[in-house]
Amino acid sequence: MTGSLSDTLLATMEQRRGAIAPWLGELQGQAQELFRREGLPSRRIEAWRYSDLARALREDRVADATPVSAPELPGAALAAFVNGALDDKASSYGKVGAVNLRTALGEKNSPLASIIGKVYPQAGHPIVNLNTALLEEGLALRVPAGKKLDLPLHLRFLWTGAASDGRHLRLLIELEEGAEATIYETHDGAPSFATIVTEFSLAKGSRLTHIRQESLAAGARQAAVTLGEIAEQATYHAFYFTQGAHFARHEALIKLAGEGAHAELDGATMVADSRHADNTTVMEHAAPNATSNQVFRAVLAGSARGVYQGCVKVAQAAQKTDARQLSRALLLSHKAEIVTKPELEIFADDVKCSHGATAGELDANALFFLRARGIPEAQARALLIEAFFGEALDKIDNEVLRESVSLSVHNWLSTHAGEASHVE
Amino acid sequence: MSEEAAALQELTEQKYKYGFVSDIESEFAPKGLNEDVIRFISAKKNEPEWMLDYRLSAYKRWLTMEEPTWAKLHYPKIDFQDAFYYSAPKSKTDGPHTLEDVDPEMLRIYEKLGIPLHEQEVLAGVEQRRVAVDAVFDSVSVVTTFKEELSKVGVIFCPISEAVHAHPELVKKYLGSVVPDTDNFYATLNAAVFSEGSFVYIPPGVRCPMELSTYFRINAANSGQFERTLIIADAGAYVSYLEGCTAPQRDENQLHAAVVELVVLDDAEIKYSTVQNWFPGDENGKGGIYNFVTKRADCRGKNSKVSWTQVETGSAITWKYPSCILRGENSVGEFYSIAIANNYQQADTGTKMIHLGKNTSSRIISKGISAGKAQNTYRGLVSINARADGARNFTQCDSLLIGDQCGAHTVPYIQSKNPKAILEHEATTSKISDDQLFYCLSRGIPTEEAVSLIVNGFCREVLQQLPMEFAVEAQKLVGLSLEGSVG
Repeated sequence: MTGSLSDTLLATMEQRRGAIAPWLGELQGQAQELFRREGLPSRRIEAWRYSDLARALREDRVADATPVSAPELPGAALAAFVNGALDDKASSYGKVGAVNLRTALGEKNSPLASIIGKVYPQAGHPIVNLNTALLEEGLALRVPAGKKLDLPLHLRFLWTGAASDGRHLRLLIELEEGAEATIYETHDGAPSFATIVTEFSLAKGSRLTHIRQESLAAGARQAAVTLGEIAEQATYHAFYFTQGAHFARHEALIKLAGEGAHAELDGATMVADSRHADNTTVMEHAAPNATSNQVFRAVLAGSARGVYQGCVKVAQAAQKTDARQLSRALLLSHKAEIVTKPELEIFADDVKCSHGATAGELDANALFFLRARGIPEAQARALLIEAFFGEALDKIDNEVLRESVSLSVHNWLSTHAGEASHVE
Repeated sequence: MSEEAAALQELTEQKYKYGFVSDIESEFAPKGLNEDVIRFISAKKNEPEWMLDYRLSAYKRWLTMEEPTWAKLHYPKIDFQDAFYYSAPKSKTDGPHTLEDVDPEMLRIYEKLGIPLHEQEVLAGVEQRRVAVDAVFDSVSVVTTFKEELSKVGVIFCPISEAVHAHPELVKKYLGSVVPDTDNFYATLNAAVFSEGSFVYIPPGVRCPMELSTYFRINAANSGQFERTLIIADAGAYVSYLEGCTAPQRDENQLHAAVVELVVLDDAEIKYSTVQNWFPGDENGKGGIYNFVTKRADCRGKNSKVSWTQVETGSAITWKYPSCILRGENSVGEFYSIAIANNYQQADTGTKMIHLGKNTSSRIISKGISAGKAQNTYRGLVSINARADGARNFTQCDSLLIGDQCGAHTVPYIQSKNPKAILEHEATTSKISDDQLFYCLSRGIPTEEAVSLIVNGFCREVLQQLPMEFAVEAQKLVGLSLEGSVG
């Protein structure tokens, strides 16, 4: 069914193999072979059951008339990707020591050889394979031991006009012992098909804050994967915001590899119209005494569909694990749908693992309370939804970033909170 | 090894007490599976043409199907040609039996299993409660008790092979209407080769005067058991049905693929309880029953209710998801489960609650216990249709791990298309807490008893749902299956 598209992709892979750097050819060849076997992920694969990429790529896209504006983060180091290409002139990523991936890969004895494709090896991951085989552009950041970056690194992905080909980007982030960094990603516009793979590796005691703000246009099709390995006493704190798109999926595949490692994931999904948003996480506890906490919240309006699949794996060695996971969904319409699949896979006995999931509508009593105090319905609903996300927003330390994400939440609410279930 | 560990080990290593083999002369269908074997089974049951057609069409479909592999279960590929699909104890008389016709040897077996086949006998209990029993031995029903008394109130309780002849209109109407013969690999196989099971029909407005029970025993070597149970509760009816099962201890694995269909009409209720105690394999993982079961209830009427309660201690492999289709307005589905896996047992079990009607509600309480080198998975689906306004679900899945060689997994699917529905799901995994154990020990309770006490406490919400006679047995079973495993 996707024969023609897969064939085109395979032909492109053939051309790009080893093109950026000959030493990369072997890795790309393997990825290409795996892609040849598996093809584009479709609902026949369990992990893609609710997000059928092969189908989405066959469907017609909604045309987007809204002009795209580029979000600015004052004072940040900027990596500006326009239609999948890194615009060096508009960028200032050098301020934090980041380098153009294309250039760095091409260097003799490239320092990136030790990290690319090495983090959380996912040989079978269809998007990672596709991305590796078609890799074009990207950015690499290495923060030396003990260094704490004062400036956040803003990765700005902007899609203007009709970029008709697929674009495949790679980000490599390496924090050495005790280093600290903040990454702020923004996604705007409508890529016809983009894959973005981020690999991060956190050495002992380091700390990465990762804010992802996905405000793609309705016609966008994007599959992103974040692969991470966290060493002892290191911390990964993430906030993933998404508004969905024609196809929007973000996967976080994280391995707590060292004792006392910690991962804190907050998700805020706000989807309306006929958009689709998928958050998929795999939290692998491989070492003792590691902790993880995930809270994914979603509000769904129109005929939108939200998916949350979260798997917590605890290996036999990972005694004293404390893993928590919570998924909460608010449905604002009779046509919206939420699918939740929280999975636990546990092989160690001395652990505390829990997950919870809820779905429902806004609390009628709370709404009544506000209405009784003269607050109009739409405003009251917006207030309640804002409060629903408030806890996660409060955890963002950087004030400027918190404001920026809050604004996205606010903007969405001003258009969609009124879409009430009272209009049935 | 600490005292606790030793006590636990002792507890877990209790031998399976129903593992004896009885020497009953049996007749078999030729080994393997083909159309002739299906015709043989059908002929043995003296079935009408339509029943044979049903089987053959299912068989043709089965040949085109693939074994499901999505469960967290690992076992060598099953050779479906290497088993007997029909095995029946030889008897002197044909057709329905009365107690007098039953081979005394057979009665002794059931006595040994603790199943009362004499109508005057009652199970131990405070009240003098009576239980009607349908005893199924390999592929045939040996005897059904209290039939006459039940028929006075219009309740039909008989082996399904008998119902095919005596009540073809009911069988035709309902058989395969909940679990179609196209449903899944094992259900289709069952539709082709099923040999025995119980048929229950409760007429409108009747509250069944006693508990009904079917006791399944696999006896013959190299044979599979393919039971088929169909229970219909007509408008306003109520029945409590119990199912028990055991098998001899053998080195080879035996296949059990059952289908259970429940039909619940307006205001009716079915309470279905199972204590599954098949031979789970020995402590080295040798032998045991492979159990692939499809159980489903269809709440067709308004205010209908189904309650599944299961205590799973036996089977080397368990693949079983008793489900409820909540079609009628205000219908209620419940699932209470204790699944215990010890040694090399693997269990992948759970439920599906499909909410289609308005104000339907469901409740899932699942307690999984893993010990030894066992793997225990809860797999469940809660689905809320766009029209199911006011639907409500509560799910709680708790897992207890005993020892560091076992695994406990939870795979729930939760889907909602309705803002007026409320869903809550929670799951936890932990071990027996040192604090609880210490509390008991410091009060002079021996480790073994303390563990049993804590485990029983962990399971109590489910145990409470069982009919009393079963609850006593189940409580002992929980203790026995786990004795010696905390450390």
